[in-house]
Amino acid sequence: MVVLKKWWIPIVIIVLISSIIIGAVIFFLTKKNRLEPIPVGVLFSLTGSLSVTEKPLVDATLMAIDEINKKGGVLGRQIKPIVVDGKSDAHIFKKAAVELIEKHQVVAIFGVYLSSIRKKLKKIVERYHVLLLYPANSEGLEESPNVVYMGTVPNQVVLPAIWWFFNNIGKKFFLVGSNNIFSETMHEMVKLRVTDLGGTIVGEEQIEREDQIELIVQKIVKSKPKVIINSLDPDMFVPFFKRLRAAGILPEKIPTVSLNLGEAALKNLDLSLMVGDFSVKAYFQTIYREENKKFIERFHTYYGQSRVVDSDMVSAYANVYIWKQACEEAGSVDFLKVQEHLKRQAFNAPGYILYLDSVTQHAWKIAYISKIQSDGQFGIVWSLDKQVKPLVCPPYKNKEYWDHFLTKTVKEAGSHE
Amino acid sequence: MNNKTLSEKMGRREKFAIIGVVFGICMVLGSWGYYFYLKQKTYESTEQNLVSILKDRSERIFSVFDHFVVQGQLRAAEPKIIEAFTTLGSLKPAELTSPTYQRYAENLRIFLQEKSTESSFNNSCLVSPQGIVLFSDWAPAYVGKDLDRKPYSQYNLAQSCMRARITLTTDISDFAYDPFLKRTTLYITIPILNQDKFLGLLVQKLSRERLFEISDDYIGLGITGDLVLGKKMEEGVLLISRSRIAKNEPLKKFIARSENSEEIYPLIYGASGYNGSGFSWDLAHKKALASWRFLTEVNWGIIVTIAQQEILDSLFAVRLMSFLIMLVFFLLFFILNYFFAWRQRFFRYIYPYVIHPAFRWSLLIILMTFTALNIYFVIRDAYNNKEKITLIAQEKVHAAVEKIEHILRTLETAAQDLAYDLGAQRLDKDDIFTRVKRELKLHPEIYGITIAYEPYAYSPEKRLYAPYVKRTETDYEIEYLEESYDYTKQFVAPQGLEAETQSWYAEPIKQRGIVRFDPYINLLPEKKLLGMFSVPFYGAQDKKKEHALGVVNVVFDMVAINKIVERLTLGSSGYAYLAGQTGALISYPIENYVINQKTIQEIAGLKGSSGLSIMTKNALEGKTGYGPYEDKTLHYRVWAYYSVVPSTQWPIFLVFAQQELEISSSLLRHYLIWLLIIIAAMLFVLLWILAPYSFIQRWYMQLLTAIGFFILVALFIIIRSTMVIEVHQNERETIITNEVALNKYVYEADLYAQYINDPTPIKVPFGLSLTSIDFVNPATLEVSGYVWLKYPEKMPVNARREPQFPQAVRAVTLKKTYEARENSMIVMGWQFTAQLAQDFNFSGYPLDLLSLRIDVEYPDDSKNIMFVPALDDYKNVLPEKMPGTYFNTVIPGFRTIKSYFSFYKEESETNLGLAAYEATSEGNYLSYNLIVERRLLYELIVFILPLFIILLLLYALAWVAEKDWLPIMIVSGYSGLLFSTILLHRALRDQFPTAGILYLEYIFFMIYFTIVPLVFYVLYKLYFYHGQSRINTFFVAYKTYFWLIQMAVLFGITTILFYSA
Repeated sequence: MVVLKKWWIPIVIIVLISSIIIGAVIFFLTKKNRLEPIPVGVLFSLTGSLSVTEKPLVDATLMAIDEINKKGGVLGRQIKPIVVDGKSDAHIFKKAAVELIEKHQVVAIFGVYLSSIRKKLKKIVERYHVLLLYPANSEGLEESPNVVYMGTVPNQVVLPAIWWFFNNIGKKFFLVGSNNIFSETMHEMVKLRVTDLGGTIVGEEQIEREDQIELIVQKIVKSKPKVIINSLDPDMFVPFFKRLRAAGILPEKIPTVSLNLGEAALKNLDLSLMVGDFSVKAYFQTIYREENKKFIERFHTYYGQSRVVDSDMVSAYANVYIWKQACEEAGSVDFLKVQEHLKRQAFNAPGYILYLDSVTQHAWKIAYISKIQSDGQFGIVWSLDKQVKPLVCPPYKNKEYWDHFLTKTVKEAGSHE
Repeated sequence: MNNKTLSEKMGRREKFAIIGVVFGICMVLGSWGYYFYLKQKTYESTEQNLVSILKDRSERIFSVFDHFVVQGQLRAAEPKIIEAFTTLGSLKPAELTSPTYQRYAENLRIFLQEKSTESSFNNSCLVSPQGIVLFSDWAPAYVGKDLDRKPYSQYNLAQSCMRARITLTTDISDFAYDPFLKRTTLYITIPILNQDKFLGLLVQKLSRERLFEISDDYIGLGITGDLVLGKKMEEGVLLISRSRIAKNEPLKKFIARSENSEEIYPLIYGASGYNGSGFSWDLAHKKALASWRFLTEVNWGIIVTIAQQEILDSLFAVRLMSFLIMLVFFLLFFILNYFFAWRQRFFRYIYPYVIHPAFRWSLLIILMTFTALNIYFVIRDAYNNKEKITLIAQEKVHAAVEKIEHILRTLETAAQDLAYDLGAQRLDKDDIFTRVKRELKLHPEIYGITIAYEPYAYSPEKRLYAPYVKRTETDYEIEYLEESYDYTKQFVAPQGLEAETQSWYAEPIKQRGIVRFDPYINLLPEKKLLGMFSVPFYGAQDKKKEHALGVVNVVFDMVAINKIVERLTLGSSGYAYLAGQTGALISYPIENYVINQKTIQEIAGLKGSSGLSIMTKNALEGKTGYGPYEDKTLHYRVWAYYSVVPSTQWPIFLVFAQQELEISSSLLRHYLIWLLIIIAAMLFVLLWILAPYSFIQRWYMQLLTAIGFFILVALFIIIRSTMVIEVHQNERETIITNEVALNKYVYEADLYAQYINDPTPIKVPFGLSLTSIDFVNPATLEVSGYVWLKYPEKMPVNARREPQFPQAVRAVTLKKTYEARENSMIVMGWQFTAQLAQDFNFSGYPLDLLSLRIDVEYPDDSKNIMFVPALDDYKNVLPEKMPGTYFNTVIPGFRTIKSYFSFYKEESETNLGLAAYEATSEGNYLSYNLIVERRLLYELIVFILPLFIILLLLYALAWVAEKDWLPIMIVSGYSGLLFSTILLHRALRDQFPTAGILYLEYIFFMIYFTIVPLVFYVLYKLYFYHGQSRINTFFVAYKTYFWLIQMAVLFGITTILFYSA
């Protein structure tokens, strides 16, 4: 009979070796999931006057983060969004940004809507070597290695719009805007373009308070423009359009072209006042494209069928993906490494493929002119067929002129704040 | 009681054997493990290498653009250029040819030449803010042209200028064919501003050779590596650069996204805005490692690929080493087992009762599992393919429906907004015309808009008022319908105006909402198909819509919708059609059906299928579904997926052949061959289990031989039957077997011409009827018969009127036999005889199928004329009916299986000295194909039977040649057989002097290799024979299993050669 002495020794050895092998396999397979999440800041106004505009941007950002996390995250790490309310106040925004960086150690901040607040945050992110991904349209005249500008600048949407309205509607323009850097710069740009084309600026006004609107509408009626260019902030839309219609200015006779009016803002307005007017943006929900259809479907799955998507939301969404791609190419989330890979980074966004400029980190975009329809949608009436290079320094004047202009405008805006 | 341990019970040899086996296993596992590790590492490093090559090439391309932009901006800043704008901008277009202008332009040219660098010489152009070309140093003929006007406005130069004028931003044009320069060109357009004034544009023509220098740089990409640039177009990519594999001309190759395949060319990813790398496919349809990237600013994709095989080839030595180690191990295992272990007591106990049965039974179970799996895979693939295709059909139809719906909705929304404004009286009476004009401008699809008021609704003084604003060639014109007839009453149309009797006015008022009408053909000479809908409008206070104020009627062109339907295809056979609510065709591949207003019910009747009739009825009822039916006109089974456009209830059908649902014949062959191999192995193992010790017995050998014979016969049957099905169209060849396929091909050719800015080719129907076919030699065919051409009357006067046979090896005899005029066409016929070069592949001889091809082309490439098969001239164009053969033309020794027309693409590597060659469509030959198979009688008598007899004699000689025979007799016998074999082999080679190794030749080689060991056996027996020995046993086994070995070798050779045929 065969007797095995110390029969348990080979079994123990086999069990030990098997355990080590299985343990090692499990360790390597789950390594990615055990990595620390990447903290990122999502800094918008959730309360206050700007919240109507900025809340949807938070939704779009969080949706992109969730989609990425579901697909495995960035470099095998989950993204951990830290949402902070800027409360529509520049000082709170500044404080929150510092807190996000110092306390939460965020590597990037997705946020901010107003140019004036962006300018303040720019200094902070530059000091701390953090990336700010800005989704809204801007007046340009600024670039920073720490900021990704996903919105448009004047040469991308305003210049095409002026050209189209000059050739298709009329040659007399009235400019009305808010008292801020964005409107100031837009007005300057439009004036130069209209004059060059041979048109006339019949009036230019900036509204600071609601009670000024009445007077300005009277001026519009008096000056008989063919087109009104509106760069007002969305919170002024309701009183402005009400008084405009009350004064008998109908879109069929004098159309208003809004630079800040998207689907989200339109939902808050009385549609009957708006049908027939125009908007100029780099995205509209009505863009007919498979990617757009699927994006809207996903957005509705996340937030419900009643929600709409607008240009700034798409930019906020794209910002997350652009940052993710740059991190993956860099193999790191470290700002200095990521920054090198941001330039010429492309993303197949819902509307079209958008990409960052190789120098300025502003996005190349396509301008769309649309007309507000009776069904509450923006019917696209014209668009460029190719992305336009963003010019940080608008044409006509040199850099010195625009620097001087900006310094002056910022100073004035500061005095208003 | 024996208290010995296992170790003590084992002898030294047993221990040695066990250690040897463990060591062997470790070596085998280690070597293969190392190979797979190395393979993974090589993939990773190659991928990294591809990514860095791609990055390098992308950077180089960007630096070319940056260089040109900087060059342009430097030039733009020159005071002389600014002055040129001031001077030339003030000239009227007529003055741009004056001597003063010429002098100024010459000075400017000299100035630019002095300022130019080598790369930017002779490439500047000045354009005014209004879009007039003021100066050009590369194309003086462009000067004075208005880029806003057609046809120039369609050119990439004009489009780039337009964008730069609108945005005042530097623009890079699309890389496209410039019809003016007759070459593919790319421009950089720089706006010039001075003192707050936009002066105009400086356009720099970019040297495309600079780009091609980069894209043709294959350093670091090995032998199979490729680098391609492309731009996204519809559902595919157009190659911008040359491909090393495709050897295409730039902008001449379009790669569509494959519908029914995982094989997606990675350039599609790159051009769609994605960056990445991984395994994909190259243009040779081989699995390749690829890296893709999107090139911003120009919106191109760029890829580098390298074939997977090339990467694996670099690991050949390691793979070979691992294989050898495994081989050595197995050999050692058997030797150890046989010489050492088997003789030991321990193994003697367990080997025959445990290891051996366990091995055999497990082998049988494994083989049975494989058989089951194989059968499962065949069924699964067949089922999945059907599911997948049906799903693709469904998705495609739904996507098309959505697109149609989108077009209709856009137009309807515009009309509804107009109705809203009219109802709310937001429009003054004077503004109506302006507003309608604007809608026409914004929606180019709209042909005309009528605003028809209810009696006295427009004005108390005017009963009816209905301005109809319609588009003209250059502008818009207005008609007042109330002056022609009372639109509120039923319009009784004169004969021929049937389509216009629809109640476009009364119906929407009655229904209090939008009413869509079926499209109709207008009465103008161009016979346009127009769609129409009407929207009533009501006063702002009339919330209940009780009193309509009038109707907005919109008439729109159906071109955009028809294009969607025309592009809706599936596989090689798919086509789609769309009909109106009543069933009248709106779009169908045969245009005459639409013009003659045939209905889908009539189509169902024409196809003679009750299945289609039911589906048609369902579709007209608004249902969606799919099903098969027998197409009596095409003579094969087809499937249709149908749906409806929701808003209009227009039924849409996507039809495709049943064969699209079936698994490919090559895949079926693979499955069947594997099944055969597994069944054979299973039968052998089963015999082994049932009679483990009978393998020397005669009955056992006979049984095995019989099994082997049947399996071999089954293999021949599989190959022969799947080879017949194999004649299908491939990427380069499009088979035309019916009018639908022809129209689809012609449509795609026209579309392709549009992509590359070519003029649409003129189509000339070509017919052929062969009277005799003969082989002059294996590479040349002599054919004679009749050919005819049908030239349209509008054919250019200087265009030649005869066909050309590009394969002709000698002058073709063309004897004109008739000329007649029929249906605005001139028919010319010739009797012809031609000797045509053929590129046959005889490697499968005698199991091969031959495709005899007769190519025809138009003699002058610069005329852009393409031949199309004159299908109408044949009674039956079904391939099995062999159209084009005169009384079933006989080819000696062959049987004709089918004949058909096809288009064959040949990408030329030269422009034949014609600068305008790029403007013509890609080299398309019309081919007439005749598929023939050998009758095999000749081959059976001349080769197969003698070879079998030789083998039989060899077998007999091996058995009868015993030691008492004189060696000289045995060797003489073998020599005689060898001599006969060589004679036969020579006869075969004489028949096919230029071919590679033929399948039949392998049987000859097999005989040679049979003779050699038998001769060695004779020699062995002569010098070393000393009774029974192992070598003797080996030769006895060799003789015993002679036929089985021959059949196994033949099976192996046949499988290897025909597996992927």
